[in-house]
Amino acid sequence: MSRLEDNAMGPEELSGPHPGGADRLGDEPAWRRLLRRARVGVRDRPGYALLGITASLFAGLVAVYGLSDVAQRTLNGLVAGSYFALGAVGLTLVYGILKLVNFAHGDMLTFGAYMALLFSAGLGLPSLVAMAAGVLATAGLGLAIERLLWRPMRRKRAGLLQLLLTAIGLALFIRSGIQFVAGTAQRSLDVDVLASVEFLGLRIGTTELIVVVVGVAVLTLVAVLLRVTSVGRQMRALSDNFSLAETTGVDTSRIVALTWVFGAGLAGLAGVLYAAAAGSFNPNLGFLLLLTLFAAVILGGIGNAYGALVGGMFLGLTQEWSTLVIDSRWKIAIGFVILIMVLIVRPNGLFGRAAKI
Amino acid sequence: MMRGKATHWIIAGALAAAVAAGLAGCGGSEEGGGAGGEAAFDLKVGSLVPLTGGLASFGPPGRKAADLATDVGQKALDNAGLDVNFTVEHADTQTEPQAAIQAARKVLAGGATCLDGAYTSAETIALGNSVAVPQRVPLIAPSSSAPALSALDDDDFVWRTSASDALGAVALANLVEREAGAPAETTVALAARDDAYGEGFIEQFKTAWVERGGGITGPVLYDPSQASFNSEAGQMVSDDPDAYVIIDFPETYARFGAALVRTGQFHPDRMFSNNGIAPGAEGEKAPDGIPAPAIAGSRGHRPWTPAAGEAVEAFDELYRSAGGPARHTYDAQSFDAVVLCLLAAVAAGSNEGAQIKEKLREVSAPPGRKFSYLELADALRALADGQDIDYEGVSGPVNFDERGDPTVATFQVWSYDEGGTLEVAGEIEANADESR
Repeated sequence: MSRLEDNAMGPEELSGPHPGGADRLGDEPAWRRLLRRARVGVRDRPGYALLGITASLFAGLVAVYGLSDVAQRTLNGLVAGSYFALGAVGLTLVYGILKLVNFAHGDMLTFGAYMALLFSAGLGLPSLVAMAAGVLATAGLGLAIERLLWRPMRRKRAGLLQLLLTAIGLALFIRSGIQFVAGTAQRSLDVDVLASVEFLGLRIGTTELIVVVVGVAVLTLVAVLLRVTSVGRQMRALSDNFSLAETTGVDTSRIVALTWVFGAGLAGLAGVLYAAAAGSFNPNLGFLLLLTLFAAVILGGIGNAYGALVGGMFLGLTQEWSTLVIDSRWKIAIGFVILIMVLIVRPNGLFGRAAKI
Repeated sequence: MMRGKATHWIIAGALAAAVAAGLAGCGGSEEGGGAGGEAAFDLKVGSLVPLTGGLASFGPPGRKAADLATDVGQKALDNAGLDVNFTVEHADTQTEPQAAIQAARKVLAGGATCLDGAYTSAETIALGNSVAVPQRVPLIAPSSSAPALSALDDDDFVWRTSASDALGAVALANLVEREAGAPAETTVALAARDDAYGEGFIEQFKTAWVERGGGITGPVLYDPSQASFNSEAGQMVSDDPDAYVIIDFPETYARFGAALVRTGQFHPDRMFSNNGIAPGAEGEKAPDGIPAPAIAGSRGHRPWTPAAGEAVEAFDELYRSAGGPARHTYDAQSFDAVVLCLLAAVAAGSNEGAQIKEKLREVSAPPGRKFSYLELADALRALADGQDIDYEGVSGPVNFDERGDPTVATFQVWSYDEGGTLEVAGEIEANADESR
């Protein structure tokens, strides 16, 4: 089973939560048995457990704050969550296959947004065409960086630390480059960010609605492609064991290049959509989002595409729900509190697997 | 005959002058340099300006104002016959506290003993703690408005010619009361970016409004780096408040404002704010990215020099005819800071920082004869004669209080029209004595 696949089954149970305590099971009080069952449930069925937690959070909030407020926040949470999920999935794809923590991912989002700006405001292309061109340009950037930087680094057998530091340097390089060319002023794509649609008393921005729909559609497509296509299977093989995949005849060089094209393209898409929906951005767009993207990736289980989608959505929902309960200034911090709580229960993230030696 | 008489007069005059000088000299030594008189010294003001970084647009106008003040000061010194060589040295603070400290050390090494700067409150607080107090050099900030500066344990070495946000909040409460209605019948929804600037100002406004018996909701504080602002916008408009007060910068308000419009319940003509979202000149469009429907009809105030008055008009003329950068918020405050350095030094008869700071309150506030910079030579003569004066600045009467803040401040009232173009309409004043 691959890390990139839905791993809702979790690892098979090797031992009970209280090793050697089986003989006392009959004596344990009911609450303890319930707790133990809940822990086993959370460990073995993280998908269902998360669904249960989310549903009970929702029900609890509705009971206290009323349906209409909570429903509106839920919608807001799905909007924020789709930004996080779109950004996180490229990050987790690159990590899962290449074991590279790509600190430059946030700045690739920014690159996508500025490329769309260049094509629309600079070259006068229609918005949609410009956005598509921005995504392609970012995919191209990913491929170029792979050929010029990562492949030579891999050939020289650079270690994890060197790769990590290189990624941080690359992030600064991309951001400074954008600042140098486009300046630090606020920019906006020619998109209507003021229009909104109303249904059942709930409101969502028209552009935001498009982002949510496109986001969920694209992420589902990515997941399906990873599962059914030959390239997807080879990617998963690389993710499981790079050298073994190479030995069995997978053209790793090609698959790695394709991974970068996909990962960077998804970053570009996330950047373009986020910039369009936000309405106004500067060269810090992606960098400011990066920490939350890492949270979504880790929450979902590092290297797991579904995990990034679920993690991003869950973070978005909890952040927006939290504004009902506490001061909205703590919204971002709430995301990290959730992350810590999940990691205490599941150290490898929701859908992650324990590292094998 | 005539000739002999003239000679006698000259000798008598010279003798009188010598005696007077001797007396003044004695007086000076007895009173620890109190009366000044013929004291000859060099005074260098260190001007710490943000030529780069976030406030880079404030740097060149502030530097120019400091240069103008130095010219005006040197001419007045010559007119008054005082043997003081008055100069200024500039250094770039990069809008960064650490760089500001480096800049201050540079000008102090160059011989400066009174500082005009810095601009952000973060820089000024850092300078106060690391330079002004330990090096015993007074610092007069022309644009720092954080209330925290008032409470700084600074042994009277940290001053400012700009109004504290406490005063700005009182002025904004005056404006909301004038335009939106009596506090008892007006509920105001509050929101601000979650940083020292936004939270500091909104808390001061909340205090001022609640003291008048007004109702409030919030404040809603939001992290400028967060991904979406929909929930905050929903909170803001939920109870259909009579007015909104939003303290923000354009880059965040571009997104928060769009989210407010998307709620479908936002009335921009009920919105009030301060200088943060109105940085432009009259007739300019709203800053890049802020959609017009998010700002049309909003009103607010920003620090400014009083529009009328002889000294104000003369300064405007002086500034414009000198060429270089155009007028900018806080240029007059920088001018006043440099003039106050000179006045306090002449009053102290010394260029020592510790002596200068002892005189700053005296020369800025009543009692004493009032002088504007147009009568600077007379003011200097009066100080040299040991009289107390009250400098009336270009930015306002200044009148330092016991915390080193100006007591009275004038704010310019701005509004955005339907198309999002900035208009300027009159001014509003706040007096710290009223707010207590």
